[in-house]
Amino acid sequence: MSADPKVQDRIVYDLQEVSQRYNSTTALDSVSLTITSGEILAIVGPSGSGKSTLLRILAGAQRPSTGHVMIRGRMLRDYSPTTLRELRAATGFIHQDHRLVPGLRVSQNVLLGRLGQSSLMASWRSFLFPSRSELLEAHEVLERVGIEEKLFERSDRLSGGQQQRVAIARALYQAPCTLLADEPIASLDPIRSRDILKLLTEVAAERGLTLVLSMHDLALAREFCPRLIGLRHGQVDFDKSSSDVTQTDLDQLYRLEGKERIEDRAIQG
Amino acid sequence: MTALASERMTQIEQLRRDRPRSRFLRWSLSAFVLLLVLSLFSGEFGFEQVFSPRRLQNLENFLTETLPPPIRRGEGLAAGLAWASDILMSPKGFPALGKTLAISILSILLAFFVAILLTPPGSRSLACPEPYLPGLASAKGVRSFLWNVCLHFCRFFYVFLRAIPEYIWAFLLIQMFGFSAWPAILALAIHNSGILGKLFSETVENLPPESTIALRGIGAGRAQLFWFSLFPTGLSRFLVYFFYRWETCIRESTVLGMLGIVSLGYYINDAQATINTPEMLFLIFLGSGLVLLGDLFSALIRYLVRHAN
Amino acid sequence: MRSKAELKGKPFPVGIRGWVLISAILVGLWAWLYLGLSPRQLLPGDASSIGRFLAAALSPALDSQDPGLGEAVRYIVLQNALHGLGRTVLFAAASLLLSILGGFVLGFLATSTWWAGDTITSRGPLRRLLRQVFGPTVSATAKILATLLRSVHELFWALIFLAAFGSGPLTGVLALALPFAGTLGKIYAEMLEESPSAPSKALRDLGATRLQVFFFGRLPAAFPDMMAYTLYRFECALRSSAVLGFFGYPTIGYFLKLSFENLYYSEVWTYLYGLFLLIFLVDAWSGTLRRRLAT
Repeated sequence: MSADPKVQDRIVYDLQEVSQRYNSTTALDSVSLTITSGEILAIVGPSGSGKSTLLRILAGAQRPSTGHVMIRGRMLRDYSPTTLRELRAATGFIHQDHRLVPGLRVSQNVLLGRLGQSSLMASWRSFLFPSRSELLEAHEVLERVGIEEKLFERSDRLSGGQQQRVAIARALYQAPCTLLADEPIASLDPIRSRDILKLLTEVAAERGLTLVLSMHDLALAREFCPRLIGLRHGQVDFDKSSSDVTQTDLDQLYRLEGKERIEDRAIQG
Repeated sequence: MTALASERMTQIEQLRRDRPRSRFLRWSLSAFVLLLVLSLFSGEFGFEQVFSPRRLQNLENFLTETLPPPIRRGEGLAAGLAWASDILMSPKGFPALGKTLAISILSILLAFFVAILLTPPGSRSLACPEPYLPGLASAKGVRSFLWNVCLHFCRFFYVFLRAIPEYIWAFLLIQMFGFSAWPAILALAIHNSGILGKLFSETVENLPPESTIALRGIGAGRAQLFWFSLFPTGLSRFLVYFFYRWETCIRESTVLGMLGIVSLGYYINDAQATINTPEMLFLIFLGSGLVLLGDLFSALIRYLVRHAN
Repeated sequence: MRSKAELKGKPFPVGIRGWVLISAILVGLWAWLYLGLSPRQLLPGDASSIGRFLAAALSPALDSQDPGLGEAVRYIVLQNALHGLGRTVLFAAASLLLSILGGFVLGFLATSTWWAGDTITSRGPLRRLLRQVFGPTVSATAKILATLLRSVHELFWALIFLAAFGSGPLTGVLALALPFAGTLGKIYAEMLEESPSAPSKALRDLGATRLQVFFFGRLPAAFPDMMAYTLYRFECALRSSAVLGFFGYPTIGYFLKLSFENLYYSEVWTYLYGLFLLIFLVDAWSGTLRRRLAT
């Protein structure tokens, strides 16, 4: 990549020829890409194109079958359990299905964000008897996502969009350097999707976070993310700034072929 | 603390005061936990007495007497096995196990029968003036009142049946019917029909109503609704509960023998009374083997029934 | 739809459920013959004493029916009933507390999902051994131990403890606590394993250790169910502790047995009504509580 030493310092993720195979299927097929600190980008592509796998590798939750993964200047395979825990604590991960712990109050769910940074005793303490400063911080991040009045509600009683906001608040409370979001808007209606995307990109810009999103919706991705990576059958189809992405790129990305095409006709016909 | 932070703190305090909470839930759970903790330290259960010299002597005697006599005498494993197989072949062994099993089977069948008969009048969806006609439901009138009485009577009857433990039922029934297997069967059946009745009624109330509504639409009566729609639809769940309770019936029917009915418990009690510790332990071990086999078998059948369709 | 030809061979299709019902009834017939039962055995031997027993249901006694004691100590039966019920509750509560502690430890060890961890941090040979051999072994051992504790009835445990330690309230509590700990351990483990795993995975992704994932991901998700089941077991513990009285422990069963053996039937009915009332109240209370917990 770039020989400029300044850029070199700012590289957060550097993937070379990364492949991931599960038994007979190939999820990722020699993917190479670099992501620098503070970048906001979206990985787009049809279902099954390997977006989730890629994000899980970036999060340090999975090791690829082959290839080199460099995260923050260290090879993924060289991470020890301790440094891996630190890496995860510094990476916020937002899922499509928000994954809050049911039965707990919103405040407790938000405070769980710092589990990776605290010992078992300390986390029990903050779980049962949250301190003033912890509550203040939790209130602050909830205010940032716009639902501070839900601080003491049961999280499973909130609506889907509100729960997604709590999940974002938890990730913010975690105070990470990177925010990864796997299909954060897939189960929301168009208006709420736009709100959530706006929130995520604004927050990332404010705090200088690296933000990697994966999503289906190309129009929204182009609107909010300066850089798009198209993924198809586990391979990088294109990797451009959003203004350079052409309609042919997109048609190419989502075209159906062979069996898929026939099935699609069958549904339509 | 800055002004901004303290303003935020007052907001938080306000939210904490207004948080949705159930006073009943909180008080009940605190009272329950308090009861549990206080009970252990009520002075009723002295810990120090466990390790008194007399008790330790007791324990030592017990431990030395635990081994089967032939092994204690050093006659080897073969002699020990012979001792065990003698017990197995005597009336204390297989015949007692068979009787225990037979009592549990008859009692759960009887309980199932009684519970099924009690289910329609004990289910909210059938014990009402116009069952399965959602548009016609009215909560007033004499008929509605009478059905309500019927429903709550059945519900109360379930609690009555299951409130008294099997052992006490059996104790009372033995005085009436003597030492046949009947008191054990009836005692187990009474207790379990209360439990099954409650479970069956809840199942019927939670069944998807569509097919029953359709049947009602063509003029079926309550009995027809139950036997031709609700019973077949709910049968899988009924059978699952049936086998769950059968497991506990085996457990209990071994114990009821201690009252003098000829199940395994009778011989266990006998061995205890004659201070034949090795035999007592061996028979208890046999009983737990029967319970384990029953659990396994019942788990298998429940699996088959669940995946029947 | 099945064709006519197919239906001809099977005039009445019987599914698995049908076969289960039919064989249950056949096995019931075997049991009837094996026990040599006949309805004639149900004819009461001594009709008059049964009549007196049933008639006494209408006149439960508050004072002792013992002519020597009757007027001397007022309300002795009522006092006994209250004492007996109090002790019944104490025995049940103490043994439930012990069995909750034991059951929680067993359930914690038996929860196999906890041992699984995740693959990426368990790569060294030692860690792999821990994950693939040690973890499953501990989990299976805990499950077997729970099943064994449960398979011996609490009254048999009481017999064993009587033989080993002699009588005493603590042995009664232990006798109740052991099988209850087995049951709770088994059910807790099932509930913990069946609780949704996605929240736990999310906590894992943000750097939580296994123990943190267990306490803050799995446990809170399964907690309402575990609580509801524990309340149900409290009812069972009350019944079992009442029965423990038949073995000399001072619960309600003790007084009941004594009065019955003295043929003081009115006293028996007082104790029966007392026990029924206690269970009825606890049942109503815990039923409401369980419904609230479920929502």
